[in-house]
Amino acid sequence: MEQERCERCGRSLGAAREGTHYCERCIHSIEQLGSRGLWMATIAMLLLLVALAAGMALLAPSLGSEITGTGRLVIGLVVTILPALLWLALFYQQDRLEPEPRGFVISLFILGFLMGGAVAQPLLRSVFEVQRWAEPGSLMNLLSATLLNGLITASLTYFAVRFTVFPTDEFDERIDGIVYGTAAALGLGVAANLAYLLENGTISLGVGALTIIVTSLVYATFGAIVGYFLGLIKPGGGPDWLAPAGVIVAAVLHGLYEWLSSRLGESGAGLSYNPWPGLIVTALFSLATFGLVFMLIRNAYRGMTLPVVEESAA
Amino acid sequence: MTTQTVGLSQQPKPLSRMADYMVLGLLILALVAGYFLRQSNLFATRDVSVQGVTFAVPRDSVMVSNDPFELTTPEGLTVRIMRDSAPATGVADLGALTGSRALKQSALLPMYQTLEADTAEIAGQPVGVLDYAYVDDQSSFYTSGLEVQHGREVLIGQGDQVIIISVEGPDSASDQLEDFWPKLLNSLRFNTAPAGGS
Repeated sequence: MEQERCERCGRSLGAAREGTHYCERCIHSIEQLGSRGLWMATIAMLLLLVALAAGMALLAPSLGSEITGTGRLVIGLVVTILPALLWLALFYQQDRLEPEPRGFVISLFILGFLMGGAVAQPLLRSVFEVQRWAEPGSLMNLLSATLLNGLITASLTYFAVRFTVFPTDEFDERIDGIVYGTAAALGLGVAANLAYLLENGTISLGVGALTIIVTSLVYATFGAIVGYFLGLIKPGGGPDWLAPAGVIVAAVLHGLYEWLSSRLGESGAGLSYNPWPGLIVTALFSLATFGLVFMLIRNAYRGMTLPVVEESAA
Repeated sequence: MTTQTVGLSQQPKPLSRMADYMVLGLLILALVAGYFLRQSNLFATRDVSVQGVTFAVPRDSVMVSNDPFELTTPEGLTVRIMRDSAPATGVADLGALTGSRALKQSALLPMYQTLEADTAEIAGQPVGVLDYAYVDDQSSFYTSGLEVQHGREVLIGQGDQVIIISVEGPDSASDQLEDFWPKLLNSLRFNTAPAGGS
């Protein structure tokens, strides 16, 4: 009878099963060893992101109209890519057992960006012209954000992962789906943020920085959801319908996020615009979805954990 | 990562095309639904009733003034409804009606030119139709060049008066005018029977 062995220490885990598994001891020791460093790294990342947002908010008014088209593009690229890379690093750290090759993760991030720039954004802005007919905060906004923004983004994330790393041997843990899904979705998020920044000009650099950071996180979490469901199929051995289910869950959450942020971002009294209520609520929404992803990651680890079986008994 | 163990852990679930087809199907459904949402919203209209006539304008048009009635469509076209006294020849002679209107406008608007004068029947009522252009004297020659305004008017006789519905916009918005004009004419209804018919 074929034996399942712990991927890390080689202890016997009993009869062979589908997917990669670890013994309880290895999982426990990694959780114990990594937890403190991980928390420190997470806090450091969050502080960096807050500093970036604060820096942009302070710098934007003084930059004013001095920024030329090229300058705006360069600043836009930095403001959109930096938070995405920081979030990517944060999610990448969660894959502690067998970190995925960085080349694969970065390639998926770039692929996501290219798909966002070449497919998602032109579809949304030029073909469907969502900005022209979906009034912010309306029911139509919720529908369009779910059906178009949500489903297009989630489907592209699915296809990006499915036709690149999914068939390879590297994709052998449930958490791999989360890491790769996050990378692809963050690329799509960068394209969306860049389009937003270029459309709104330099005025939005201040208020826009926080929006961009939150949007990056939101894309990352929705990508993680799509990836988690992919992980349930391949290493997890789940049924095929989990693939569209993951896409639907991510799309619905995406739609809710877009609707919520635009509804709360509406102008208050008169022509005044106060972005903070919307940003605070969407940041809370993002943290909730971030928490959900952490829960999925823990769940993924639990799914890979098996008790050690004595060789003689096995 | 590649596994070191032998057995099932080295043979992950075979890739299923069904999952891809389901996601692709979802995406196609979403795109089709998105297309219908776009069409129904982008071309959504609302009815406007002024001076005894009702017609449809784009839903997101912005009212500029009530008297005289003027609104701006999202495409930047201006819709106006005016009431003017009928020419001495009356409202039955549509050729004279359009000619008289063109003459009046040429005295008011710089470089006014009638591109086409015609008659038509709308909701069973003969009307005069004018296609015209003029130079917008509000535009600045030094900064942006002179702007040509292109417009169309429908002239509806009503007793000793004429109801004029005009749609005009910059020449660059001619395509939008071409799109909007037939929709406006098709939606036109008379709340009270115009008295100027033949």
